[in-house]
Amino acid sequence: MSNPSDTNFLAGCRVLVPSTCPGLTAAELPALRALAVEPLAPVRLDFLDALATAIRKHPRLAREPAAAAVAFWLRRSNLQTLAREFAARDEKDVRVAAGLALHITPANVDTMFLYSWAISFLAGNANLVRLTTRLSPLMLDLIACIDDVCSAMPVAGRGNSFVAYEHDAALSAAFSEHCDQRVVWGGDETVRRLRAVPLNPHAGERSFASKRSLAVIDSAAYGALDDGGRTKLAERMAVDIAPFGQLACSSPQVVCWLGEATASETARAEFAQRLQTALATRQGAPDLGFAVNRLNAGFAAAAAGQIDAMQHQPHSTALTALSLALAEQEEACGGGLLMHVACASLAQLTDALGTAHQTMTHFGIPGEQLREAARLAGRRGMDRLVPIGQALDFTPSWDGFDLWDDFTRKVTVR
Amino acid sequence: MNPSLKQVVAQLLTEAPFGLTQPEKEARLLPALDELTRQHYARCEEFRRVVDVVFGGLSTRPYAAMADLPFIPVSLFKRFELRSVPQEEVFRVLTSSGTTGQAVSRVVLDRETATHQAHALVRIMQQFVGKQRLPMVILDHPGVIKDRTSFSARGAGILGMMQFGRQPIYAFREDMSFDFEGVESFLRAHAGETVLFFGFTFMAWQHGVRALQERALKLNAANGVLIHSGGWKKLEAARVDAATFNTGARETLGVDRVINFYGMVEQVGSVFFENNLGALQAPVYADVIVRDPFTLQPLPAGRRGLVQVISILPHSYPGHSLLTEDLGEWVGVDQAETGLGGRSFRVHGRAPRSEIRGCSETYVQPE
Repeated sequence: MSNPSDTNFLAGCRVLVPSTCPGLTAAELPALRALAVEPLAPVRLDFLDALATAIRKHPRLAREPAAAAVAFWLRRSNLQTLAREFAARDEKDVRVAAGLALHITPANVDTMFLYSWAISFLAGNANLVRLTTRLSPLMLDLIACIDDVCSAMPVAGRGNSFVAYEHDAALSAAFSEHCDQRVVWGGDETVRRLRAVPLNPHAGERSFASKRSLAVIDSAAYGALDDGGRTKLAERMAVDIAPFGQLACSSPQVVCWLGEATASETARAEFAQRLQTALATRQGAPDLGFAVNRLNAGFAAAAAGQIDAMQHQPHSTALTALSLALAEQEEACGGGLLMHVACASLAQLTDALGTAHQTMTHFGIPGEQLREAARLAGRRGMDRLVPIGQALDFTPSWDGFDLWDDFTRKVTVR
Repeated sequence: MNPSLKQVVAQLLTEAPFGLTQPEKEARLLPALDELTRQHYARCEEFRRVVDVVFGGLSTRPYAAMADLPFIPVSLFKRFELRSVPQEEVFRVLTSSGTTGQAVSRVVLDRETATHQAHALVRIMQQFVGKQRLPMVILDHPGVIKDRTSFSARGAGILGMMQFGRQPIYAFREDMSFDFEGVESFLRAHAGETVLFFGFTFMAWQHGVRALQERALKLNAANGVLIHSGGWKKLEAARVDAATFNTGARETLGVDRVINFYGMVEQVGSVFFENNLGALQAPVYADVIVRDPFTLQPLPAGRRGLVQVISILPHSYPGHSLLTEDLGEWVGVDQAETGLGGRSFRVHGRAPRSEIRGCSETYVQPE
């Protein structure tokens, strides 16, 4: 990409992919958008499918649930489903790639950068993906896989760079001047910072603010489950809270038990025990730092008068909030801490929601009630209602926004 | 304070600080700690809620074992101002920045607690350096104790220690550079006497020992003793262990003895000094328990867990039984070779902080 004789690289920016590129220069930025291709180009599906295979075959990533989830998501059949959904919606208009997409990705939800990029890549864009300089082993392995596929399929991978730098307004400004779409992940603080960085007037911007999520379980439906069913539900909850220390926006921090309070209490204690077992099976040895965080959060909630019970176990801590209003902590603790709370009805719950709520994972709520809840909760700000176990499943519709729309432009033809 | 509790504390403060065997100590301390627990329960709302929620309320019978006493994590002092006396009885507020960065511990002292804590420290110090006040060199700069109503942990620690010194001088200038000439002339003026050096472990190392090593300077404080405290985290990062520290201190300051002690702003006074086996020794005012971080069950000797410190002294705030974030283990009890009664333990650093993760973190400001 760079002319080897030109060493006027953008200072402070390290190019991770393609690893053969010695650095990015300001001079080459304007040309990047020309490297965009048609949405859903077959060569790009091939590229992502090859990437899925590389991740599956990687000795470390193969054993990493978050990476396995990425590989599963990138498999050809899922991409084809996404492609069909995308293709099905434009009848009259013509969709083209946005051009150059700039992704500001979060430091510590290790796989988020890849989803953001993959949707944009499928949409046909050239991409600049900004990553943290403090790359986790998981991120490094994923990047190495992308780089390998880039080397094997250089034409398909053209125009896609993964770079690392810490917050640097000048660098972000240089990239923002030449991009056609800017996507900012990372919560309120990052969004505020990036909003202050000028953006190409023609470009669009999508920002993902800080969000929180919760789970809803119907106590009676839980009570009606047999032993195996209860264990399975706890395992699905573990899938939602084990990755990323439970601090992904979509991981629930609160569990609302719908129904009569005493039934909820029995169900909660029962469920907490099964969840502990499920987490222990998934995670093996418990994490000391998480345990200390959970103890601190639990004792603090007790001292503040928010809870009336605390059950501290090796992989999890269950707190019971005195009321819905007291259930949400200012700062998520994560690491296996769940705040349980009894709630008389879905209507009561939806009344307590706000714009910062993102995902409601659910169990035991009939379909028609769920749609009604979606309408009520949605008005409050909730973006997703998905079954327990799917909190972290990434879809092109996120936080109530359609990433396909963000990464393409619609050309009207009449 | 109720008469019986008051009597126990007053009596203990007149006795030898390591003069009780563990069974004797437990027999003396437990009734007082039982009373203290009930007193904090009655007077401090946050403590009461914790006891009710986490420990199922107060025991209906007197607490019969140290490990049965309710405890709170030290981190609560960062989130709440925990107070068991009326606001008008607050005499001093100690503050300390903790490992969580911006959060600051606030510890409220009334006169009685402050006096008892100071008194306990005197007793413990006398055990190790004798009764006479020693010429003293503080390995810090004078600016740390400017404000006398609100103290940083560093300032409070220095002020507490200064009562053992004669004509104390500061070894560092305001810019933390070592005032070699000043200290050298102080040592000359006190030639033949035992000089007491005191500093916080990292400061003493970084701006004391290291600074002298870099300038290839040596002091000669023959018979001197260095007492230091304050955590090894930064030194561990710099790969400095206790042996390296002690050798460096002996070589640069010229002291004979180097003694570390373990203490915290939330339990000033009843500190844990290193015994002659290099383990930390609980004085008669205090005890130590080690708990499994995953189950909170007390652990036997030799098993590592979270250190819980117990002290009879905190009266104005519920700090008599605190779960720390330090990892440690019991190593001995009433060991004849130490000549000291009570339990001893070792600390193996702070529990590692789990990495902060989550969506809301794209950038981290460099420290």
